[in-house]
Amino acid sequence: MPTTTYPYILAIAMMASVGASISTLEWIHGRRQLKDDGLFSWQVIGSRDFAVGPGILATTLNRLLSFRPFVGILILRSVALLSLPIALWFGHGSVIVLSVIVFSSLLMHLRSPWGMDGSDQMFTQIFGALLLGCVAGSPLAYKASLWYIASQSCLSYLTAGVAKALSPHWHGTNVVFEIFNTRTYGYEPAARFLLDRPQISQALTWGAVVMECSFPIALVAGFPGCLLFVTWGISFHLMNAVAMGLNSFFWSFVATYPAVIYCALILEQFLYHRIRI
Amino acid sequence: MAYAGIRDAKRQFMTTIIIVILIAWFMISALSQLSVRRIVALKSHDVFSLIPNWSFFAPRPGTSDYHLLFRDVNSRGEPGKWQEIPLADRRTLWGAIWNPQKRRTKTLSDVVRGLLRLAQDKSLRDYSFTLPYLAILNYISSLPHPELSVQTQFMILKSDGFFSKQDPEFLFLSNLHGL
Repeated sequence: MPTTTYPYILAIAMMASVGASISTLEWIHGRRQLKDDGLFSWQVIGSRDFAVGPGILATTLNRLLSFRPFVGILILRSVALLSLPIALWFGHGSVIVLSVIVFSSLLMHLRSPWGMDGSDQMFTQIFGALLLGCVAGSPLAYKASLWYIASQSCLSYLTAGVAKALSPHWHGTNVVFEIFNTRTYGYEPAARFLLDRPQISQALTWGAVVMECSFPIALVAGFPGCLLFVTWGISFHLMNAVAMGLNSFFWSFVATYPAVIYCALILEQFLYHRIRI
Repeated sequence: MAYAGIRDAKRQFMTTIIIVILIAWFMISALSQLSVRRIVALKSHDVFSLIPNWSFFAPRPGTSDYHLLFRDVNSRGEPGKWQEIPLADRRTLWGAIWNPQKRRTKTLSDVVRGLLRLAQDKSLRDYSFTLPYLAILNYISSLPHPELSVQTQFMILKSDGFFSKQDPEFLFLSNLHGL
């Protein structure tokens, strides 16, 4: 496996671009909700303090985030996302393309105080780190970006796992069944299967908690040890995409895995072969 | 030669700045997961979601469904039947790839939860000027209504999912609002 940064940066950018493109096209598909009579009405959301008044910030935001300009921003974002792997491949324009992506991500978060999820947060982390790496443009800056993305990935699983392990709500026997039993995040066939099988529900709960808590071990597991965690993560997010409809989570979290593999390889060389990082 | 030296120094300087930013960003993110008070205060101003929250489905997993219903009142003051706005969509295999409905579902779910959180705040006397309330009202007002309707009202119920033996539980009733 190579330990130069370029293939890893490209793999992350490609997967994150695919996922964020799907997510952005979903936004464009449901753009009716961005109109003044929709769920994301700027007349309602724009009544927050920072967007009200005659100041430059409020005026600029009102111009940028009303229906038509915002749909234009989403279209521009889609183009930038599709261009990113090409820009990185040819080594031209990646700072501009990534700036458009990051700037549009920030505006999307500002425009929608509701409806954004963990995958949107992870996309912001990934593209933000890639932009910072590209701005400096040095091998060390690219390495720092990869370490940042891998660290955020590990932090996300560790936090999710520890928060569940410590929560009394997760100590019940049938939590996974209760989640699958909801119409919001659930899946009726899975709920029916788990209805009279609390042992399986409990095993799924604690299996997920243990794997999430232990995910940071991937960094020191070396290669191919880290692939155990990566394989679990891919299966976990694939199941969540099918059973819970969380399609963007698959792309945003799996996009961090090349960084995890890169850091595992580097740490393996350092820890077991005493080669300087 | 001198130009190359300046360019290298500039790149080295930029790299240092970038590394400092990334370390600070990660430290703030990590402290935010631990709910450190100052970071929580900082996060409350983070309208760009630069500080992530990674505690998915925890501490309280979403084990209930919320139901949003509305009814209209006609010019004679007679209320119509309650109609439910589906907050969840049917799961399909295709939804694992393309799922545009999830944004609307998540948003409706978020605003309903947001309103219920505000409704528990005893210091708040009028919910009708809060953002979640206005968002729900704006959305319901935009739906097709019979011509004779002059006012509308919404209600929130809670249930325990597909295999539940209990009736939905009443949680919230809005004021009447002109259409």
